[in-house]
Amino acid sequence: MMQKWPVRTGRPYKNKLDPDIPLVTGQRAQDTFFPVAKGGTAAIPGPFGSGKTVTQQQLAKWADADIVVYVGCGERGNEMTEVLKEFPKLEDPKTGKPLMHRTILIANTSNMPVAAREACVYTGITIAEYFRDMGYDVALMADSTSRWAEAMREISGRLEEMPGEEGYPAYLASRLAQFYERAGRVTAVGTEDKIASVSVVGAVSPPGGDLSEPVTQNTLRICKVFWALDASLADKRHFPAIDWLQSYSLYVDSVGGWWDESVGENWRNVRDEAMILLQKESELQEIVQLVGPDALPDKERITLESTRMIREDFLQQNAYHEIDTYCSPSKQFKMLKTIIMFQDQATVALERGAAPESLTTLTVKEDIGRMKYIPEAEFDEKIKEIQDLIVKQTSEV
Amino acid sequence: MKANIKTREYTTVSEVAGPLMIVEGVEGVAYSEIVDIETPSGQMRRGQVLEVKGDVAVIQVFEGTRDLNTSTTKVRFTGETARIGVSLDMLGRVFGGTGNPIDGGPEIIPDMELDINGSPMNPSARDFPAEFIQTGISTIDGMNTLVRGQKLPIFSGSGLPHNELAAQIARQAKVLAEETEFSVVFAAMGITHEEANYFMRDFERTGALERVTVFLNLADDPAIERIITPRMALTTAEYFAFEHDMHVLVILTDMTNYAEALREISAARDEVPGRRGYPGYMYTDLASLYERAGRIGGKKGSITQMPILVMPQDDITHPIPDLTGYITEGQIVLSRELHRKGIYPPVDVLPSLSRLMSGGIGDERTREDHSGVSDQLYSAYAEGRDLRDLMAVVGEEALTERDRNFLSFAEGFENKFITQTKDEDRSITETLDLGWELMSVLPETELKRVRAEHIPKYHPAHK
Repeated sequence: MMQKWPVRTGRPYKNKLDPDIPLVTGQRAQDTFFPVAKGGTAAIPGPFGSGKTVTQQQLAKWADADIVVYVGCGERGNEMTEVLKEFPKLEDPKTGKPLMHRTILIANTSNMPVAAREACVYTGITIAEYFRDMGYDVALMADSTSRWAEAMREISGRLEEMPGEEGYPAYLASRLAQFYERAGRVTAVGTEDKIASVSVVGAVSPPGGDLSEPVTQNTLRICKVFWALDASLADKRHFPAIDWLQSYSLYVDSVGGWWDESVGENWRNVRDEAMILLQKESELQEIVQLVGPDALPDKERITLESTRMIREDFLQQNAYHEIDTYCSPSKQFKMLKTIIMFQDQATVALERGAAPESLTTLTVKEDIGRMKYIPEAEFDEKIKEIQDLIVKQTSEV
Repeated sequence: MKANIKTREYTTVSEVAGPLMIVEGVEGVAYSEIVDIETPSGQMRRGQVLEVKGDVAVIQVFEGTRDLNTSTTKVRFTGETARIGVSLDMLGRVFGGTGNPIDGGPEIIPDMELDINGSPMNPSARDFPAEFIQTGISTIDGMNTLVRGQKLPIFSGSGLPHNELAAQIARQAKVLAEETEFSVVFAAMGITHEEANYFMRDFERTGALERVTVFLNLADDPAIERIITPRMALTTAEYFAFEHDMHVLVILTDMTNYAEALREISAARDEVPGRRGYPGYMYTDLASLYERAGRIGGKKGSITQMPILVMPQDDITHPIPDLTGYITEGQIVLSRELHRKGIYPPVDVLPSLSRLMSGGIGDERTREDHSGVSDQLYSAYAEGRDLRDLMAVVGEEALTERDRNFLSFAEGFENKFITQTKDEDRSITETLDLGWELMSVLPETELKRVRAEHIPKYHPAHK
């Protein structure tokens, strides 16, 4: 089984396939709004303290891959220790074995030699490709690719090469592209035509949170998914601090089929409707900033109420809560559908002449706020009750 | 440093530039080797090899290069990397920036001689920090909990009371249910005599001096010494923690001066500068200091680091705080706005963070409701602050009842929760109860971050 392979060269495959199956991560903001496909690439840029590492670790824990390669590239020693201590205790939801059994950790902490840091990302992707060739779906998390780029810069400086932008070597963009291009869903080499994938999620640590710097910009040119972490959301303890207006995923169309098939008929409509509401909210917020909330028409006040629910009760997810840490696709879909249902029902009630104050003070709001803490086993039953309550209470006002 | 067989002496100095000196015609010189330099007047100085190329060695001179000449200066290569002799007798003593006693006491008879650069800890040999340290400061204990083995810097600005806060933490820090007190290793880099005296007086006043080891490189000492001062201090701390099972709190102040020294050397070596002239390897260099905090599996001791840094122009995106924040496990940020309002300690909780908090709190460690209370206080205060901006535009009348509740919460939070006196040592229970009391101005339906079952148990209205 042992093979030796030069880490800087990608391993061969027969052909690349379209990524159209989502990598389910159990994280609502990612799965529902900005999904990444198996074999896809995603970038998480964000200033320090915005939750890059927790996001990466959540993916490593819950992503439905067979093998997870976690590259700690120039990051904190204690965080590596945390993974080492915690993963053996966690159970892989698919196999029931300790999570550590499917995890490969490459630890190069920030005080270890620079040359090793430059190499560790390649080591990680080569191991990932090795397992891909056996027919597994592999997810690789690189935390953080900025440290890797900085290691390149340091070595390049010592070699007295002509520096490019911000002192980074001129070949930074091509190295980043080469690395991310090694991701993909492929037919592996061999007689059996195994279909397998390597998905890559790279964290980027832009200096001062400034996304215009070369590493972020070059990464964005290659990656199909962009989860922008925002410091002001993190300050409010809105976690994961994924900015829903800035982030994007180019896989929404390609994975839509999977969602419609395996979760619910109109997944795409519900998702898009929620997205439109959030977009609308940011416009309304600007008006509120100028003239105050009283000046808004009643309908818009209901919209603000629903988007608050989307933000607080759906997008926010507590990685440290035993139930909330993982949310299955079907639970995600039903949660979002319930919030949209509230919006629709409240609008209907409003048109019937109900006072907006009585709609924004309904007690069902509290039930919606706590639906993320309902265990998966009881969820279907409880969510019905909540939906019935919405209909009941909105029709009574 | 005793002379040994590997010692070689040269008088072939070809150039002196800034803190650097270039010696030609040398043989067998090693990277980071320590050199002794005899000045023309017979004075002895220390230096370190920064670069070797063929038969040319570049040396950084710790005590400054003034009056070194190229004709009569003697350079002795010792064949050893920088080491410090350590012993338990160092507790209660004061050392200069290069590790010589400056308190008039006797020389230290070393128990061990250790390389000041230490060696990186293997993550799998580490123990994950999870023991709650009670600092007695609500904003830290309640919302940015410090644990043993963590590195938690204080990001401050010039003129803010970071020294008072650090001294208060050093004085009050304790682990619940344990009698042992922290030993403190204090490393000063480029701070003024006045600031150093403040710390010394505070250590003396509270009787802490006998468990404190002080390394002083003051503002008028050579900047280049600052490169080794923190390494001396951390090596001493490692000796206390891992050879003698002590729990050590290392205070490094001021990291900004350290980074300036790093920049000075980099510029003198004609390196390609990175952001704002700081060298591209500053992240790696800072990490080689900060990463020396932690615990090792199987050893009882621990090293907790509290670096202090003054953000130039209060700018958190400046390379020094920025790179520090990427390495350390969180940060405590002091705010000029709160300071102007007369609030002490002026900790701005919103940008502050402790990454190791979740491991150190909860049932059996602090209290079961801790994480919920902390999250709730954070989001309510953030909302209150947003509304304060809104109120400035649209006036108070335009706000809803709900909004006014949040405003009065933010007010109470600043005046009761953040504010405490310089001697006030609040227990974690007091901090959490205070948090509940403040939250009680909000309607219970707004308390979404706390667990439903904790509301009847801790909410003042239910007691």
